Amino acid sequence: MKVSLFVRKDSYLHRFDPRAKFLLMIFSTVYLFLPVMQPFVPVLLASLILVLWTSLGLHEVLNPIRSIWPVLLMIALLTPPFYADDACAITAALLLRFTSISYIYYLYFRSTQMSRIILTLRWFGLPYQGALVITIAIRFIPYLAETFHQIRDAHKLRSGGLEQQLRPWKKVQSLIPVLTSVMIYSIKGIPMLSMSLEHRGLGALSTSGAKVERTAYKSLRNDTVLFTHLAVSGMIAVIFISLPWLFN
Amino acid sequence: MGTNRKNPDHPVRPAYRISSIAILTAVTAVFTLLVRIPIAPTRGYINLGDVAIYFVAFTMGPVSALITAGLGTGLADIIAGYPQWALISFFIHGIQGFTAGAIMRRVITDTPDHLLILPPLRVLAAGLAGSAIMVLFYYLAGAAMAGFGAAAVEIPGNILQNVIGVFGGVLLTKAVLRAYPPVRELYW
Amino acid sequence: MNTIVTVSHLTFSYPDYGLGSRSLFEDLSFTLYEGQMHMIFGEPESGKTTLSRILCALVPAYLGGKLTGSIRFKEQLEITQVHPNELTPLIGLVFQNPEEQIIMAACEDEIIFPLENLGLSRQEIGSRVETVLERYELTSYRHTNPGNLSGGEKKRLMLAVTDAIDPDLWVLDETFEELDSRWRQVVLTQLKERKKSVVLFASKDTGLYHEFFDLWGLLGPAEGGAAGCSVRFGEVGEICSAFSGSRRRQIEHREIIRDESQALTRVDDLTFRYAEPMSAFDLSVDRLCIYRGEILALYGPNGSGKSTLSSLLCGLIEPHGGTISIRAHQEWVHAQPQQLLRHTGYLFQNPDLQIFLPTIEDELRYGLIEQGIHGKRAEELIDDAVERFSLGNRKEPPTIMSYGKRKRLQAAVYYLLERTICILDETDSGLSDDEFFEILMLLSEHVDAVVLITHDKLLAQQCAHRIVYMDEGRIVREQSL
Repeated sequence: MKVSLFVRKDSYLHRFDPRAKFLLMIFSTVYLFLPVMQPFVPVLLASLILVLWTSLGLHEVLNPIRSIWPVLLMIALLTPPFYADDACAITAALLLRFTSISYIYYLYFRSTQMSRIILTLRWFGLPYQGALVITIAIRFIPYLAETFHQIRDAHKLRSGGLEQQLRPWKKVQSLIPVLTSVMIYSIKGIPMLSMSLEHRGLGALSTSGAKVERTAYKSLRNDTVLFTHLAVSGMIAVIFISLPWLFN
Repeated sequence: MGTNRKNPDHPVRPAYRISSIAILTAVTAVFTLLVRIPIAPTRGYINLGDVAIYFVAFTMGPVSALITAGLGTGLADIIAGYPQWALISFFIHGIQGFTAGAIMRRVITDTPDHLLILPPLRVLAAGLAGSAIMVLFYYLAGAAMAGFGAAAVEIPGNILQNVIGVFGGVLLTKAVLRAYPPVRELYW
Repeated sequence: MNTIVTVSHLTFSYPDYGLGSRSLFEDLSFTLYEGQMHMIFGEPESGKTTLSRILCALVPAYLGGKLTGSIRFKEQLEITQVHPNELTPLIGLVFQNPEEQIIMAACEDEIIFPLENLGLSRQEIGSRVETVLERYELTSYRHTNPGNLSGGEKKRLMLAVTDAIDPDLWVLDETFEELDSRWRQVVLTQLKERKKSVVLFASKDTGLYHEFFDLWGLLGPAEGGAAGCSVRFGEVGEICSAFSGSRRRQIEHREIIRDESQALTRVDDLTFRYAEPMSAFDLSVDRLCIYRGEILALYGPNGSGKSTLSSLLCGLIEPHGGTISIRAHQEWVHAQPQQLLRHTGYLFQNPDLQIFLPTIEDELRYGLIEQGIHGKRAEELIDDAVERFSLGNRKEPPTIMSYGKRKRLQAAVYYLLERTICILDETDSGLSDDEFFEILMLLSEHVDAVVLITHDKLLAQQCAHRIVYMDEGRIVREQSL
């Protein structure tokens, strides 16, 4: 099981500092909701598609659309009845906005490794314990998913596969014992994981009373690369913000 | 027991908090990802993530529910390929879990061991409040992103998902309490 | 010799949740010495895992229980009075089940994590990580998710993490169970040469590594019927012969009619391949029959396809090609997965994946209800199964029972399900030989045939009538005993 959207590749988008990328992601999300910027959303969307094309390749361009087309269809069908005037313009704006949002987040998660995202959040002030929780959760998701499948198999073996012939509601009901087993299995793992964490010295330095901090072996450096990438991001932001004035 | 709330000499150790939250986050994500009942047209399915959310709210309290529900569903959105919803899920499910947990409070730890009846009114209040928050805020967030019309399509699915979530959460809480009594010690 | 750990008058019992407490250790005293390699044998369930956790102060901190007595580290530090994380640089434990010890989503991070917690410098962490990655041949798995490693590789990773911490005392809980013989040699030679203080708890005496150990002990009830527990040290020979884990048993020879037309299950030209593009594994079995009355061992290394074949045989997955036929009313029928699910039972290696319900009796009754057996008849059958599999109190919650008892319950469930064939997946792991043989005998007398999945050749030879050797998804050889 794959626990992220990330694909390994050596593109400029992959090499772009994750912190700068993160800020750009936030910026462009906010941009989409600013009323003055509405005429320029197509420019943003076009840029996003261009970035996706040049960094990840042409075959990636349609991927986000594959998962959002039902939403786009709903927008197209259901928005007009809400508006007497301007139905077309509003519908088009919503379509553009939703598509753009999808591209923004797709780009970020497609090109940034989960561990780098966590380091980014650390850099922006997420406490270490929070980062640890996310890391452990990511380690356990595939493991528990596998457990889930095995437990469902075990139930099938025992009931002789009878639940497959049941009606939908009964089928949902027959899931309860599976969910119960998964839950108990997971909860029983909590003291084991706690033991492991503590045996590996979690919080060791705080209990010994020493004033030494735990080392952060992997952390994002504040180097010239970061500075350059932040500067580039800043310039991109300024260009987009000034679009209304440029075209006025 | 190092984790026992009844023993003031042993406060809950940080390692225990971290692992209980991390594992329940993973469970919430797995419930969200693996059990999908195709129904709602926009995101395509309703999931059983809410069963896990209400379970955590009932058994572990509001703070755990806030984090596990938010992170679990957020991570699930990223993994499933709907990252644009991740942040929204994080906040809305987090508040939903927190509210349900805050209303339930210490019902689990305060009921005597041989009684397995969850007070129905309290459950109803917690379930209604949690569902209302989730349905309403998802509608508003969806409306901001995709307009009122498209967002409205999600409402019936979300209501159903919450109904299943509350019922499933109650059944699951009871079943786990019966089969694994030490689960009471998770509350903090 | 300087002592490293002195245990005196240790008494311990787990919380009982109202079911009557059982004391695991009573008045246990023993000493471990610096720079020595200790081997301590103990039957499964004798408390090896609990003892190793107590040595690291993890129990009772995390699993509860009542502990009295004293454990001194180097005659100074009282282990029962400290938090587990204060012992991290002093005592390193390799858990029996690596799945319970893995924390991170990349091998490298797993090694870095404790070193960061101890506040080592970046350079120091970097050099230790490189050293142990190389020493345990894990360099190519640096960024791999530990969950995707094989059982043996996971054990190696856990040893590597311990090595990177470089504790004063290594506590190894059944660590060699899944390591192959080459790695056992490598690890033991290393530890011996570097004069480490080591204690290995083991439930099986493989007899092959005797030259590495200095001190031999046996964990068990005190001698001469005295109350309490003891770790008794002694000569190699004496300890090994006193340890029943060294004794082996042999099943009785049985005449099996190997007539293909009378077989219970017949496999023809079966093929299967996993959907993941990453896996190069494919299974292909031309012909396999399972005969009435036999115990058949499926033997092969990890990843040879034993479990995949078993999943096909009991209908959990569908073959891509070929057929599995079963006999119904004297006729061969090509069995659908639905039919196979009711024909063949499968006992997973981990019983916890197959035990769901609040009490032993609920667990046993569940299957009977599916078969339409109710009321007095059902109660009789449950009583019978409880008695045969020595399950004791019918109202006990399985989730908090001992491992051996959970395995017996799992077997009892299938005993009552009346499947034609039962597949036992590594059922011997974590059980004493006596206990395993008892379960095997009870099941094999009740069902028409038993299939035993194992990677223990000796075990296969001792308790099967026929061995099917598998490797890389193929049957390479068959041997009748």
